[in-house]
Amino acid sequence: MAGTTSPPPSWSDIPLELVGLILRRLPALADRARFAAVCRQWRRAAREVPLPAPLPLLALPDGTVYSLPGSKPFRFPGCVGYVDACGDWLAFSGENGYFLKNPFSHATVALPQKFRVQDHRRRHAGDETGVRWMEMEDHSNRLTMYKLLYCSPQLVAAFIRIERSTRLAVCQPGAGSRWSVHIGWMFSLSVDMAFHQGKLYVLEESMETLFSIDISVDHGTCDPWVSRVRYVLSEIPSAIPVARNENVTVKILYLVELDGALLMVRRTMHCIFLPGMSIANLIGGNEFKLFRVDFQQSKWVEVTTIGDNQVLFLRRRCSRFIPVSLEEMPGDRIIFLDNDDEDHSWYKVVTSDSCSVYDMRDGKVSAFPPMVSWEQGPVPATWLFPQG
Amino acid sequence: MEVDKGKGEAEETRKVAEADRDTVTLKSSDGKLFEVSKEAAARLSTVLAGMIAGGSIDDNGTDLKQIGSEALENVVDYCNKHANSIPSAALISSSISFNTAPFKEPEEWERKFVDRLSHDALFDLVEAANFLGMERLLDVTCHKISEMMKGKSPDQIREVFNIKNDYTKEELEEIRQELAWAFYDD
Repeated sequence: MAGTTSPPPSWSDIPLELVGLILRRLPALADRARFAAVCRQWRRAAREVPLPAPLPLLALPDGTVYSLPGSKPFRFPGCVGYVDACGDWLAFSGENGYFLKNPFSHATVALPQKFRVQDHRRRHAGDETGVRWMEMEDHSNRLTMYKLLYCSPQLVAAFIRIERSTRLAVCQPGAGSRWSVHIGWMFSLSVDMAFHQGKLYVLEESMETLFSIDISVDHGTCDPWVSRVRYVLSEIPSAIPVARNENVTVKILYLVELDGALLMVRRTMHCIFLPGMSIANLIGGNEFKLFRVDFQQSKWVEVTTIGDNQVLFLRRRCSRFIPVSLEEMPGDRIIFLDNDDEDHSWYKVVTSDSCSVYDMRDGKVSAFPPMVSWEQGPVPATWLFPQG
Repeated sequence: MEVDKGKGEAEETRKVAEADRDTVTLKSSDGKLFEVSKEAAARLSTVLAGMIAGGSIDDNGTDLKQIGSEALENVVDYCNKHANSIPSAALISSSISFNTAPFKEPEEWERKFVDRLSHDALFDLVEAANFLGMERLLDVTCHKISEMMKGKSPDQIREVFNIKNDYTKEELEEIRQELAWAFYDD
């Protein structure tokens, strides 16, 4: 420490613990990155201090990103052309099928191209598991994949849509392995899933039903597969108000993990059917209700606050709770994409999208900076959650 | 609140004795003496609280060899101002964990307090706050420093903080490739 006669202090020598305190107050990933680029000591310090996760990036399909809270638009070449997102991974569709890429670390994970389904016709009594598999053929035209979920280095899950049904598929990453598609259970078109305390859960929208998924692993190939779909709990007693006349309520459900609990987020929007129209117009009125799974009593328990020190970044395929400071961004709020719904194509097609924020305390919805709107393409905008 | 050393020694002793009840005297690395409210010092600094409780406060000026007079003057000034300000609700709950609690916003007077400091004085103050275990003052100073960095390019930050770019060409190129997306005006 300098006395009055010492030379002026150098900011590059700032002690490590102070670097941590300063970086904690820079929740934007872009600010943290620029801090680390200033000089060697700061770069080393930024790598060494443990920090809470930064706020996510908002990535648009054209490769534009915004580093929250509110920033100028950046060009992020690593983001161009994604088809899906999962945490800090983006999914791309290449010549050799899907692969995951981390645009920050540039790590790449290949996903299998081949799909197998259980063959129920030939059950061999002598077989250890009694399970036989057959390759799925000619799937490319009638199969779409969505909601990739990177659970662990050994397990990636995804929903596979085959014609009008949704199936759950799991695989271990790697080009040489295979997706195991579970055909024993057909989900409705609107489902979400989450990985919670080492277990995969699927939430089905139509009945607000939660399932837990048992995963088995092949002894030889280590390929995972769904061995059982277990019913956990179902519908909430206080259901959505009954629609009157031409008004209808659209519902979207999300399944998210928070502090060791599993939460269902129920988003409702009001729509109106215009005379003679078969599609509905959204008339807004976003409302959110959160329910925690009480595993012991097998029921949904409403949650009215997520705390002043957290916000929920919500997107159909990629949601996460992020710690915030009051100053940067007030907590207890849900930040969502207005038209975050590839599954409900029956309401009026909207061409542009933007971000909004829902305040859990008063139920009010307001615009969320960056105040941008973007053209909707075949792939929706997404949050990207860097590890920090 | 620097004690005038020009006065006679007797007077100084009397002053110190008088202060024994509700103030403590701190001595900077360059030997200057400062008086600070005992209550505020104990409340705002874990280190001073420990010294007061442990009886290691020297009536003739407790040596703080790591802290220069300018920084110590600011510390003392901050403590005394704090003693006079009405603590807001946000300040009362200081028992939450350091790392996970949401930051408490600086009060208006605290903002002004750090805004008037030169960069060197701010640097010395944040180090002094760190040394003395002054969580609240660390909040306020680190807040100010982070505000000075937000939205700025690495070049601009180097300029503001007078930091030399010590990267080699190769390292700079590596950083540029890794973080190119995050830079602008750079």
